Amino acid sequence: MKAWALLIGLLTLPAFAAPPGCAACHPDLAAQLGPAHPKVKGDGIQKCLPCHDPARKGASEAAKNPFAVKLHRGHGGVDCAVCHAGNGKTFSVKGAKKPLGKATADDLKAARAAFADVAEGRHLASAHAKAGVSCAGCHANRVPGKGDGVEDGRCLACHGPMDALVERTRPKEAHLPNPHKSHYGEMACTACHFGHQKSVVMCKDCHPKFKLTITHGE
Amino acid sequence: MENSKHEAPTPERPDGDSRRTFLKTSLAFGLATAATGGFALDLGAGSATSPAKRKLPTKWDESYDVVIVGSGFAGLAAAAEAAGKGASVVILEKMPVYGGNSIINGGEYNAWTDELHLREKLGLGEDSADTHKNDTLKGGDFFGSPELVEVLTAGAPKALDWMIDEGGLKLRNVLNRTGGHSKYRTHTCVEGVGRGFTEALRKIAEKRGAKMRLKTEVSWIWRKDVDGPVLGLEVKGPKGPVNIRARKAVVLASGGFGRDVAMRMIYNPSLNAGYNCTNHKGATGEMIRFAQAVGADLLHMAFIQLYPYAEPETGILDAPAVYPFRGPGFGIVYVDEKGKRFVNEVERRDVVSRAELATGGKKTFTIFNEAMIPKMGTKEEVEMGMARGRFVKADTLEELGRKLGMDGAVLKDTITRHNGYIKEKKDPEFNKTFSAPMLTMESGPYYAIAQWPAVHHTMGGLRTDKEARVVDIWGKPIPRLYAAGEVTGGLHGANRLGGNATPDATVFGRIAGLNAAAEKA
Repeated sequence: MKAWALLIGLLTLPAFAAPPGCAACHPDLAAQLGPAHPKVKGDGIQKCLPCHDPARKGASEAAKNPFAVKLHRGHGGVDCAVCHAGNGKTFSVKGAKKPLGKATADDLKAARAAFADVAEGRHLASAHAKAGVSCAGCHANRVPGKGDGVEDGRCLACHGPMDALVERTRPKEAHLPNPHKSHYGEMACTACHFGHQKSVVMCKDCHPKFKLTITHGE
Repeated sequence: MENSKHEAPTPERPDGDSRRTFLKTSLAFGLATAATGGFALDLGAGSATSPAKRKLPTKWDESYDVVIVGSGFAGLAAAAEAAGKGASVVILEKMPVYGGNSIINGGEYNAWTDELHLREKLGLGEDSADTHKNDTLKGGDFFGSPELVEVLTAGAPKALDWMIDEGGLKLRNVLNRTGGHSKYRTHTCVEGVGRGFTEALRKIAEKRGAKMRLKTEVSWIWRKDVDGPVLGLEVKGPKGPVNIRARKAVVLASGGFGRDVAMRMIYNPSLNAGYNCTNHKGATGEMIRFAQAVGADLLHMAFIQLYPYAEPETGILDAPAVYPFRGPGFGIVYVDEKGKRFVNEVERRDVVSRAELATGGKKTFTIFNEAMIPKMGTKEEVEMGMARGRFVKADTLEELGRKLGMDGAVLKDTITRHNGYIKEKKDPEFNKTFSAPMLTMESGPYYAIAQWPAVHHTMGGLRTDKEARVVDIWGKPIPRLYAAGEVTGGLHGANRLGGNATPDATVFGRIAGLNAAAEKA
């Protein structure tokens, strides 16, 4: 079964799925990159990897990754296969030594939908993209599937520590609610903040009178 | 036995056994295909909302020794005890935060004694497990199971000490005599909200290796046939159902159904959407239906408690809303919108709620003075509540009355007369029984807080025995299925005494956890 699938894959990939490299759309890529950028020999994402390796140390940290963001935001309508290779199990950047992670066809479909949403710019993930944070900034070195969560630590790497966050949202008067200091004690960031859908102030489930707002919410 | 097949089987009937055989035969006949086709038992078969047959999972995606549904007092206590016996334990919590109603409850815990000897230190009289038991049974109009209540009252002090010793629970230096109780036995954690107890239990459970998973909603209980054990659970995964095997047992600790208006109206049609609810959003009772669908029996479903002291507009039970509950033992007075008493303040929650509704108004008030604050809670809490507009303060009763929109002279007259009743130990209006710690209100400042009934606790639920085993419609325990806490019914009876839910859930959660872990994998 596996061998069969592999064989089909090998036969079909070169025949149908060999998309053009960068040059097809960017005939003068060197000019576009500008004089400050080192000269790139050849064509395709593979040539970027010596400097922009997704497997390099720190590439999956909760931090900015302008390279990945620029490529993804600028290539909304472009086929993933221009830069990525996938076999229904692993998913990688073409020419990279290590795959980005496991991804089924469904995962990739979900990822495409997420990209479309990120491009439209309504939710938290879009704001992160605009600020230079790529998928890996939140989802680390894995291809997020539907329903994938984000650990608090990744949010707090940039927005924390928690005490500072509590301080930043401290209300002017002590009796008013501080959304980051609840009677629940510790709460997951993802109780209220959603990357790819509208965020909600969970407090209002029970406290409808609270005058709290949330970014990228209603 | 004549024509029994048209009647619902009732385990109490002396002829239950023959019915049982008959109905089991018909069930077995109906499931004849199951033996060859591998279908799961599903009493919902054929209904509009349920597929005709559910196929048992052919493989399990995950397995644990003990799988617990719900992360309130009962679920955490069960997890702690099961993990303590070496079982691998996972708690499944559908909400994005742990703790359910437990973590937002009033932080009250009834126990007739404790290792700190608070009652003796505060000079608040005598108490015993038996007195606690009798109060509880009487408070539920003797509908509650004496056998279960005995387990509660005997186990409550031990569970409290356990949380203090192993979970770092801290108690306030107060003890209250609350509605329906004849003694001062209501303990309060320093947090003044259930989180004090849930955090202590969570600490013990996590220390012993139990895992908790949030945003994980159960969608079915797997059981193959009417005599067989519960096998595991189906949960909603982002990519479709995930099946989790429970090698030893499943513990249902999923709470009540106060927030499900349709469900509560099935059992008590008067409790429509016009009633507020103190519960968290997830208290919707679906686990009760799933358990029914695999044979579990229910009881007392119509007994749904109103909390008489919720915030009138939203139904919230916040920290200030616990003061009217804690205060009766220290002499607080409830008045209607005209400033007149309308009930005996040490009455049970159902009685107070009905009396409030009968005032014909939209809210009632609790009145207390400065001297009572340290007895019931803390000055800081009251000041915070004032800033939030919950407590109203005035130097005189006349002024307080005016601030509440009533005739201040009427309020003053009410309190003056009540002072006299305390001194004479006789209440000619509502026949209150007085205890020594009750104070008169001779001087200000005076305080008031508005209150109104809201749906609070569902006393009914799954039928369980004293080993926390879920009992089926034939009166027989369902193998490998345990339940504890508000999801169960039968302990509290027609009305739950305030402060009994936390020990109920904790004590029976511990029993469920120990018994679940003792099952053979």
